Amino acid sequence: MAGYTLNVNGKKHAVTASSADMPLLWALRDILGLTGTKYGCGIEQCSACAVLINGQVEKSCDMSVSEASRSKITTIEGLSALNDKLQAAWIAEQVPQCGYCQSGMLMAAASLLKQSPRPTDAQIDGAMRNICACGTYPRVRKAIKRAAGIA
Amino acid sequence: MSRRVEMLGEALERVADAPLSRRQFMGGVVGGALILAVPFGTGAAEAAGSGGRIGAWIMIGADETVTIICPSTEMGQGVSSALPQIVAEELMVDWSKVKMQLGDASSVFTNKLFGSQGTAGSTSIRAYYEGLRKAGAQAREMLITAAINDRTITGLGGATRSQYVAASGVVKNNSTNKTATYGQLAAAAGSVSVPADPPLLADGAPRLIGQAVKRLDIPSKVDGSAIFGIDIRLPGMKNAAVRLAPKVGQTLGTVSRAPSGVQVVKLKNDAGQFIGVAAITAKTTWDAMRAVRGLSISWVSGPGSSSTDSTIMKANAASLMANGTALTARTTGTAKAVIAAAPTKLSATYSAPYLAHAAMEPLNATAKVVTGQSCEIWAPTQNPSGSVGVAKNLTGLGDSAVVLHPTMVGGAFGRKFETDFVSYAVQVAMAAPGNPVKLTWSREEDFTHDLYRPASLCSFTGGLDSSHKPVGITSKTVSQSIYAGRGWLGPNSVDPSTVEGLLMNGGDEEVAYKLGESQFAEWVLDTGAKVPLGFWRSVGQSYNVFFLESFIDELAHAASADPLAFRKAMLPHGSRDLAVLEALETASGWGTPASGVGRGVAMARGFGGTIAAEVAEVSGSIAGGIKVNKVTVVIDCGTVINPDTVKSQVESGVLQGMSAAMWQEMPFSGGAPSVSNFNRYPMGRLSSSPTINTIIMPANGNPPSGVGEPGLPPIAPAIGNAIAALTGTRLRSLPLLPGTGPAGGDN
Repeated sequence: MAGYTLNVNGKKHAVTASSADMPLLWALRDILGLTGTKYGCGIEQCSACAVLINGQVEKSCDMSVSEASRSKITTIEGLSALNDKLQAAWIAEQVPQCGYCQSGMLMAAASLLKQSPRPTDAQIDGAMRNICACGTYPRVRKAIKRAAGIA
Repeated sequence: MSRRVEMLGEALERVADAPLSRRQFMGGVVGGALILAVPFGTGAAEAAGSGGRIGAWIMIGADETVTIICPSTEMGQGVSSALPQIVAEELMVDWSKVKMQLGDASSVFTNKLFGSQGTAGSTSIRAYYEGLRKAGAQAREMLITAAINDRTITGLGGATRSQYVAASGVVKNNSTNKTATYGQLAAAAGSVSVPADPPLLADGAPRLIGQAVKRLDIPSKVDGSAIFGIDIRLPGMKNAAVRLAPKVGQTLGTVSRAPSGVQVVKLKNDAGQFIGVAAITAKTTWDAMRAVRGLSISWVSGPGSSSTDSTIMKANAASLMANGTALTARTTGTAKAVIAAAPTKLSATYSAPYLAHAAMEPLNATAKVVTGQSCEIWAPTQNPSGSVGVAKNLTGLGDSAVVLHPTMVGGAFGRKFETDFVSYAVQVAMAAPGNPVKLTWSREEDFTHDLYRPASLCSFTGGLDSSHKPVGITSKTVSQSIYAGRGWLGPNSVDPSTVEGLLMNGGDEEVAYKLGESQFAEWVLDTGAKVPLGFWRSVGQSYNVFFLESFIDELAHAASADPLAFRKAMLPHGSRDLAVLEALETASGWGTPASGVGRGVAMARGFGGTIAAEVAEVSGSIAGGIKVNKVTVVIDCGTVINPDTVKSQVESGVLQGMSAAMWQEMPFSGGAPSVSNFNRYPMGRLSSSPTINTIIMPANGNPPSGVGEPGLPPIAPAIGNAIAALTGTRLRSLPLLPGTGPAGGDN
């Protein structure tokens, strides 16, 4: 058992993990109850677990809770404080279907728009590596452009 | 979820458990809101022969919100908005006032096409459309009656019914111009009788149906608040993880002693064989997964444990194609004779692989069992009735003691119609009575213990007459059978799912090609292969439409005909199928080819009569990589509830079908599935997604037909036909480009 302090969405939380290598994903979901961040593959393939670490998108399934304790973590539950346009754009374009991958999609998009406020199609292709089995991709592209103010 | 809705939910459970006699109306005031339980559609329910009732729960709050309970599973297809939209239209409430709540398992929610509560086969709108319209109208008429009777709230009461109109959640007396809101009238509406035949909206009235209203589930899916099965958290809940036999047919031998703080539970299948274990912990799901992986387990081999190997199974299927005993699935005309006599003959053999469902939410379920008293389940299930059934069998409890709460479902595609994951959760909860336990599958367990889309091998012959018109077609299919695996198949019977999409000219479920007038289709059951099988989005159509529409293209090529014109010539004048193809010809710019681009066309019909036709445009080369640039889709699904949801489902079918068509397969080696995670199961990415342009045909008064699946089957042959047009190479096996994945993909 090991104790850590996680700085999540601007609040500090004391977390007791069974081991130092517990992935951040499971500390968020099962200890802090922040279930918007999803488990999809556990091997950094699908990005359903994507969160922002110091503003940069990272997969939380392969980042240990001890490593994460040194950073500012933003989850989907804290996205609106960081970017107030993305979620509205997602609703306007009616992006989600099942919705399971969408938290990760939105966090990847937030990271992209922070680096490239007006991204090109190629930049969107490169940044949005998330897997969506329902096939929301065309609408994800439209919603990112809408949030970026690109017609 | 607000406290008010929680209270309503609790009240609903009680009401749902109470016997509800036909045409009986139940109402009551709970937490300041009216609950209308409106039994409706009794004629349809009788026709379904289930003895059940179809019900809609409509709750009108004092705050004017109207909460409509969705009987179907929301797994991304938008049904939890489309069904309330049907009610809201007749109820005459503004969409902004409508809220949705998923319905618990209850016989009042029976899907009349199944005779049980379940969501599959693109049936929800078809099953509930008439009944929900009637329910909305009944509730509206009851509110009007309450207004007529009312003399205290607004002075509306009295005068004749024709003076009253309902609109936007308000009842108005046209002669006095006095109004009362639904919220004001709701409580009184609870004591009036249910009208048997309420008037429906007049022809030409403005309709909510057909409007692209915003889905009710989406806001919760962009802020992380939507609760999927895997997100369930309950007081005192323990977490558990599953580990099932690695090879097909294996059963459990010995299990090592559980480490401290871990409880190990042996799991059995429906046949009562122990086939795996679960580890329960008071810690996190990750701890449970680690604990179950750390156990030393011996397994005992059974049927298929060594023979379930792609090399062995492919050779066996080829042998059965040559020598197996075939059953006739369809014979019309004298297909074999006309082909034998035809001046031009063609033959070709196609194949499709086993596939995993690969939904993004891994399988999971939560259960709480109080021994001898109750069983409560929270599960991302497509099959509430089946889930309750397995829980009853396991616990010995009666109907009223088993409660199933649906959750949002993170993709299903047929996998979550199965009940294995619910059964295991109940078994685990029975071993920890009094505690809720959530059982989560790792992605690896999910991939390697799927119930797979069957592989299929199909040989065609076809003939063209001297004027290059097609005169007949035969097909011979070798495959395992989903039905046989479940004991649903009688002796010498054809599993209909193995040939659906291959057959023609048979009404709503078959494309209207006249070639079907001279068709012979036969099927050989592959009894050697033991792969566990299940229903994968669009089932048999997912591969048979590829087979048939590719072979049709080969016939067109042999006839030196344009593939789209060749198909049009096979369709009856005035048919909806022909109208779809003509619309596609225009929308896709078929007549104006672009250089460096190959185009392919394909169509299908099914799911209650939906016709979908698609043109894919591809560029590149087979060796250097094929890119699908653009897909044009025309769909005729009759009456449309929400056109944007139809487009969304078409996009979904195209993209899921494209990944399957181009890259995906589940191989087996030495008795076990060879793929256990997304690193070896290529999924399309945003960068590989084509532009998709969807055109919806006017309904022309036709009733609604299925939408969830029809977009999928035509994409594989459209891409294959486009590749053939581009490169001259006909690819006859799915996946079309094995061993590759989306360009720039991580896999």
